[in-house]
Amino acid sequence: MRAGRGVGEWFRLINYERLYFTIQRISGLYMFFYLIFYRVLFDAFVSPSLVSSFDMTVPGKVLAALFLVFLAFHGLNGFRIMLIEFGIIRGWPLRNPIRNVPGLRRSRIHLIYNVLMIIIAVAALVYLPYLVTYGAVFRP
Amino acid sequence: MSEGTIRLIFLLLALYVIIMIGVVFLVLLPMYVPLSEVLASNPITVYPEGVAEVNPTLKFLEATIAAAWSTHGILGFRRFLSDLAKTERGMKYVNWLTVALVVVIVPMVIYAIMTL
Repeated sequence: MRAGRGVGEWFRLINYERLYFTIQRISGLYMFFYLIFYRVLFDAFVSPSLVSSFDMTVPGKVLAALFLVFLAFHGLNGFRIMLIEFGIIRGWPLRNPIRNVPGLRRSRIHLIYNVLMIIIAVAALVYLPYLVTYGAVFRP
Repeated sequence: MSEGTIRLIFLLLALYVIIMIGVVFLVLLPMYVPLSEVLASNPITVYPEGVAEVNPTLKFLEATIAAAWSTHGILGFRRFLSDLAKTERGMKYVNWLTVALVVVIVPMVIYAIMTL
């Protein structure tokens, strides 16, 4: 274990970028199967009425709420990845024998984006399941 | 096609989907229905059926979003499978599967949207 992070060393296993990566992959896989198999195959080709009635049940609403929450996080984190890959978010790493800091950890824009992303993700975690449960059926 | 090109396509498709879903929900739908009503409705019922009911012409836009989204999803699935593939031969199978999925699923998705 490297020294130099004080109490932060206790939480070395909680690397938020690795956590984001894991959630990004899990959410991507979930959305892929939910959209392609459930929404497209079943809804459009097998039985639309069955899907509509299942959507109104508790398991259907849980699946839909999970999909929307995952979608919000996947979109926000995906946008962060894009900003990094296109060079909009960048930072210089601090090379130090005791306290190495990766480039992204030193980027102020990245920090601000992270804070905003977490706030929006928490709001989505509350608002989207609420909409799925109590929101009106959209019939213009 | 190089991995860099695939990655660029993957990201551009994602950018298109993110921007266009925002445009559909916050710009196009409020032209026909009050925004408060859109934001208070179950999003699963808004997209794609609700949008198609508001204005059938929007189905074309929805189809482009769905095509981009499904291609992005298939390329993402390829990334997941490529983590599992350990050999060049395995990677070749993954690439063929990706092509097969794009050829089968994207037209299916477009058809599903256009027949709403």
